[in-house]
Amino acid sequence: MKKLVTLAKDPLIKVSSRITSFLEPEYIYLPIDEEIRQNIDYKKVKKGDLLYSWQGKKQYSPVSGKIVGFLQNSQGLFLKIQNDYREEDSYNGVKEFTTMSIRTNFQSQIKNFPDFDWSKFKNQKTLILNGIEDEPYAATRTFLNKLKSQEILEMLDLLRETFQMNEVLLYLKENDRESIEAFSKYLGTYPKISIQILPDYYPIGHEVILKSYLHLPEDSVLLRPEEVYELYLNTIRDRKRDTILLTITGNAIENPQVFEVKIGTSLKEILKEHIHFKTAEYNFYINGLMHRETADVKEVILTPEIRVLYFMNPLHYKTKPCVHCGKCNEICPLKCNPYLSVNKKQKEASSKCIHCGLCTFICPSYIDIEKFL
Amino acid sequence: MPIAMHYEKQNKKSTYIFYGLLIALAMYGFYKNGLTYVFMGKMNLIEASKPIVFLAVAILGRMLYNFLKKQPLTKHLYEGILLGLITPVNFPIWLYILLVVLYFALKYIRLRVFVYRILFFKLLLILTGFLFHVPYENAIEVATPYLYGILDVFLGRAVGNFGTTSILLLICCYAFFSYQIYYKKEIPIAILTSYAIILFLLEIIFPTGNYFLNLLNSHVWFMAIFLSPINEYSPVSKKGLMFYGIFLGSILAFCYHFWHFENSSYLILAVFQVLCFLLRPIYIKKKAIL
Repeated sequence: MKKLVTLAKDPLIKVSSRITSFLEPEYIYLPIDEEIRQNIDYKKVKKGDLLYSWQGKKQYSPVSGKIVGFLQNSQGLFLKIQNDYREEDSYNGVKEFTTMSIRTNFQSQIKNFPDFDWSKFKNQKTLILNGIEDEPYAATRTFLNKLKSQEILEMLDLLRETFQMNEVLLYLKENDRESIEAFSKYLGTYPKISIQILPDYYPIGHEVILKSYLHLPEDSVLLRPEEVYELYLNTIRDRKRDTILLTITGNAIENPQVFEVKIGTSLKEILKEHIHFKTAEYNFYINGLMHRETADVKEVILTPEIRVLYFMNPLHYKTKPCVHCGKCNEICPLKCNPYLSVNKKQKEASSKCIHCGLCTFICPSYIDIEKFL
Repeated sequence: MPIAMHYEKQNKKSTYIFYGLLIALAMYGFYKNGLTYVFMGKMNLIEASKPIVFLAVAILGRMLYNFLKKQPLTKHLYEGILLGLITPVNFPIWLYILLVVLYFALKYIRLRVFVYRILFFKLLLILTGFLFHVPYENAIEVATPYLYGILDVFLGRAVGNFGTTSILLLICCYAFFSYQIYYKKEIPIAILTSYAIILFLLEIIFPTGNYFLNLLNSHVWFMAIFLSPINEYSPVSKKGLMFYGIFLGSILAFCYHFWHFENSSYLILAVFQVLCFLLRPIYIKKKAIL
């Protein structure tokens, strides 16, 4: 395992300590494909209604309203639901009383939740919560840890008990004090759960890196807070997740903050109401500053896969030829040999690459190395 | 779109330290080759100021280059200081000016020289110095017999370039460089360690009594610390760096033990740099990165 790096962050980019709710979008857009589109009726839907299965995932309506059509943009095809703001729920309230029965007889209940891959818990000794927020200036996971710490701990303890695991370890970064405090409050209730503090290295939160950095044994299973909370909602609460947390941040906006939004909300609606730009010229990044993922801001639909959105002042780097310093190879945590890819000037498929962006970050010639990987 | 974060290469503090170290080398060179003799009454101040002219010419050359390239006038002035530092004190000024002009002219037209440009200038100095029989000793050293002890040599009182004789200051430079992320700090260590070990073994087998004087040869130290770790002309991987350093150090040990040509280190490094430059495309193609 190679040494990881600490990213120097701009102290002027500060995410607000308050969460902003944006739960009443006019329209909701859910990803769909042409084949499913043929079978969709323009009908009224309730919150939590199963609409269809797309790419192995069941799509539930996050709002009540009416299917009014489809949207095709550069991001793909989406089903368009008009929100009626009534929040009519398909859930009838009866199963609320099953919480205790789930807790006492969880294993036999598992078959009622076939969407989740339960097999990964079998014969495991340690359950690990990867609560690390890796991306700079992002607070999505911190807010989830803070707001839902009790639910996450309850679910983790239930899983440990059900699958007879020895312990639960919560891995958090040393600078994420809010998450540490939020979980610490309830640890007395769960003696088998403990917190492990890790240094502020990048990209330590990536599953592959975390496993190799900590030399985790084979019989341990890693979960993210989002997964655990969703599991909690699906099993104990018998509800479908209809909202996500999202950080909108960067030095091109005046008010970086964390939002709670309905799944399928259009980003432009949030920007219009809540975000004040410092400048008209900015670079837009999805899910990380060290990644190259971007899109047309006006066309972004917020899915559970989107966690952070960055609006950054453009950096004007002048790319120079490779100086053969070898730093890209030296810094690569998975030894993917980016130097070779750059100098062969061809895209090398490296199955190991996790696209952490460190090779591009360190390059003294400002070469966009990641595009070759 | 490229990523939005980048490692900040060098802060102002580092730049000031670097220039401070170069100025320290230059000041020591001025003291050793001029001021000492002025105090002893063997030289007047004008004669003693000759090395300062070297520095001034090269710095002005770099400024003129910056002006022609429409760059800030103070950009990379260290290049000018280095050119002055590597010049033998006895070098004729008119010839030196010609070489500086040639150096910046070739740089201006971007002529590929296959070795690090400072080394290229040193090779020009060696070649012209050889043609014009320029000695490395300063005027007093030429005129009178000299005998330096090991401590003298370590501190810098030895025959060599104008400003690169102090091993102590060169070690300070290395200490500074090794904190710079893009400096290949393994190469000087590999060169100097292998040089010391092989030289020691040779001294045991073929005794000369000059082990420490050879070990503290300022040309080897300057070459190892300033010229050999240049990224473009050295290997990329750790193994390659170590192999390169050890091989280079071993050859140097043989050269300085058996062949007392002061400039061997520059000539051998030039061969290594050319080979490294020319062979790189082959091992990139073969995926065997050195």
